[in-house]
Amino acid sequence: MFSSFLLLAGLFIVTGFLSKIFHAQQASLARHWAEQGEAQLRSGDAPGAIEDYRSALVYEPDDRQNEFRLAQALEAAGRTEEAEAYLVRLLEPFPGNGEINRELGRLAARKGLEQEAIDYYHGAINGAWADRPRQQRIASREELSSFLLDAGDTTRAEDELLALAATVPDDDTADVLQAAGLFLRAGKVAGALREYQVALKADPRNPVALTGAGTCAYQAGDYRAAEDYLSRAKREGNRNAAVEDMLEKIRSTVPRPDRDAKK
Amino acid sequence: MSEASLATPAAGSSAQAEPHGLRGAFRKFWSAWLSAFRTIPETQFFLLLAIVIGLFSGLVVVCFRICIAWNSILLLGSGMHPSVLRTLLVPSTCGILVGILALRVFPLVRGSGVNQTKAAVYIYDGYVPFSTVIGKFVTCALAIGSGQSLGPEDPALQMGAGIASKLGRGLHLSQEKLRLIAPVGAAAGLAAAFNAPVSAVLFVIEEVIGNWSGGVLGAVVLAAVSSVVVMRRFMGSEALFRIPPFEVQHPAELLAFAVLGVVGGGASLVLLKFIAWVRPRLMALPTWTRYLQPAGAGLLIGIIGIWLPQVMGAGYPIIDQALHDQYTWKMLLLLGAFKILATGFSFTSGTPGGMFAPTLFIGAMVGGAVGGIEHHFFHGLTGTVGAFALVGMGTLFAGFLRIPITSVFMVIEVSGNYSAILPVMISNGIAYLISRHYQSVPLFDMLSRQDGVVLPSVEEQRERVNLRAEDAMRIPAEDAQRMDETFEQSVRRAIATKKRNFLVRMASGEWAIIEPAAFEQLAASPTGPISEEKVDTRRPPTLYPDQTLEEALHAIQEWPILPVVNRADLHRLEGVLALEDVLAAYRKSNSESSPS
Repeated sequence: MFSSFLLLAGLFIVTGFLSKIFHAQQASLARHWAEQGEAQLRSGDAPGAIEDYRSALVYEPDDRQNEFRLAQALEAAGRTEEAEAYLVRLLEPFPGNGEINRELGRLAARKGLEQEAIDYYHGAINGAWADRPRQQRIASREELSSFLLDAGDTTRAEDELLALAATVPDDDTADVLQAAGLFLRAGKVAGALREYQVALKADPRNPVALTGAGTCAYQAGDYRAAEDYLSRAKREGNRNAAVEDMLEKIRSTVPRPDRDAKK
Repeated sequence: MSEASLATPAAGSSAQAEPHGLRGAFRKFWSAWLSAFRTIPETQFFLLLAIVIGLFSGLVVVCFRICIAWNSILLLGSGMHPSVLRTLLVPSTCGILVGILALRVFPLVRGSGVNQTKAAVYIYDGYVPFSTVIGKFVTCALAIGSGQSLGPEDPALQMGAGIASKLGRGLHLSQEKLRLIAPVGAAAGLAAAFNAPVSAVLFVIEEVIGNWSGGVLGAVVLAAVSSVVVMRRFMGSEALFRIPPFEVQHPAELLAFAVLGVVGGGASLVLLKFIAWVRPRLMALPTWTRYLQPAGAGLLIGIIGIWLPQVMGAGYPIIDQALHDQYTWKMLLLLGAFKILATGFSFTSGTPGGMFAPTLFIGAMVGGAVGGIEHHFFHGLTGTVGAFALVGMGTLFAGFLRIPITSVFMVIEVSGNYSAILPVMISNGIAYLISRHYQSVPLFDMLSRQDGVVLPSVEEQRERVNLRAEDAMRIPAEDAQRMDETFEQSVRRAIATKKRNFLVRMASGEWAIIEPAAFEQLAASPTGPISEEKVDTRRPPTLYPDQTLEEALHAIQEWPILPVVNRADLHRLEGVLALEDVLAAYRKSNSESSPS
């Protein structure tokens, strides 16, 4: 009997040792295959990435990041049905996950399912994000607005753009410019001009903002302001044909006493 | 170990010189502990031993699972798709090694662990050689790790039985307990392999022991629980499969699961018939071919594995992927079909390993495929493909292994989702009935008969019609006192009709028997009133109409007839039963069950 207990204790120690090595190896293999999958996905080999992420998930079945990346790989490989089914399952326990909602929104948008896309994108906008949540929400709303504009639903797009304009911080020039561009695509010149002006407050010499503001002013018929913005844009290095063309038209058709006096 | 031997103190321990210091203190403590231990009655000792068996089995099964995983990584690589060369070479080369080991070194590892455990219970008085434990560990780890389409549960079950048998013999248990110890270990091994104690207990009760014997149930439960505790300590407490939640939204959806029952029953039959047809033919080949059969099976599996590597090995990760909607229904169907082939090759070739994991695999794939097809045609179905895969696992279990109760609880236990119970019951029930209708002999009985051993068939026992007292008794028109008769009237009637044995109701309400000697006494003095005091009577045991004829036989012994009384009214005689009535009922039953 004593030997049985000794054997039991010995077996316990050996099993503990083996299981420790085993778990460490499983974690290391999961990491290895996830890295491989990441590299494959980056190099554009989506089918290879799918296999690698599946291998990673064999060793760490509950790794949500790898599961999400697998869904992205499936999507990249054109296996949208599988990707969608997979993402829907991933969303079940975490319905407020922004990342998964956005991915599902993209899939729905690709399939032209407007209401489904709006729902998922709103899930992303209002959802939880592990990394840079504010930027991710803004980017999600920009994507949604862009999708609605493509779908020709300008009314809903305008609603989203107004909400976007309210959320984008004034000093975030890139996003302000993005919002302004979307306003312009929606044909909302006043809104676009307002956003370009916000961008110019943060960065007065930004050529994109100057060009955009000039274009908006031109379309709104405020040629004086347009000439001012476009000239400044030209000075800041934007010499594209459209700018030149607008300036030319303004100068040939709109009289301006100070400029004419100089002449 | 008998009661007497348990109470015997360690001989000569007091005669030895007492050592001093720490060693002496330890020895004193140990001998005191041992003496206290030896005073425990064997029944309680058996329960304690069950816990130790569970601990040992749990530890061995953890090592076994780790070994399989390492072998697989070492031999086939850690990725999902091994290279073509590896896929072809590894299973076949390892098959040769497994064949040699199984025939030359560990000859008892071939065949079903369930049947070998049953044989230990019914034939070998609980004896399972320990070499079988080592043999199963080594050969199964090699076979499953190299890609043979088999699972670790059946070997784990047998390893548990072997460990239990070894411990029981080492502790000199009585013959009666030794016979019961193998199922205790079997439950521990299976529970650890499945991480599901309830299913393991049910399986052992349903398939190995065959009845809910109170003497062993407690030990089986304790062993299963302790082994699962060990398993979860080292491998984590997660269930074997991560099951997505699902709920049947509308009762009409149950029809979809009924369809799965039909398809699952069909798939079970295909695998059963494959094994029933191929296995005896391979066994009939010359002995030397048995060295090569596992290699041949390995080669065939390797060829399948070039295109479908998922069918290789136990396939748990693939089941998990199917449960999480990662495959299209076409792929699931392919995987299910080829897994049937691969499993058939592996098992019939005599490669050691179990059928549980492949059954779950096939069930998950078939279930998922049926779910996918149904979704294709009926968009309103709310059950996901994963839900169908889950129910499919239980369906194949019920149809192929023919363990209907375990199959239901297994799904509930591995899913942790009680809402699956209705689909599972419907689907499993249908698959079980289909399988039973088209394959009269269940898998384990078929395998034991092919091996030339006749083990008691649990399914036959379960389905055997138990004849009861009411099936054999005679309506007491002539042999007993009627309700409207007095004691005297009935005795006079008995004398008049020359009855040899007669039942009378005493004033106390009990039934008594008047035998021929008493009638002779009465005949000698025929005048005067007849009362209870004047007649010699004996009180026979009484039977109830629902008691089995086996119980009636125990009760009859030397009694010429027995009263069968109503349970609600003990004074009311429902019938009388004699030995010849019992025999006549058995004869009638036999002639009805064999129409020829």
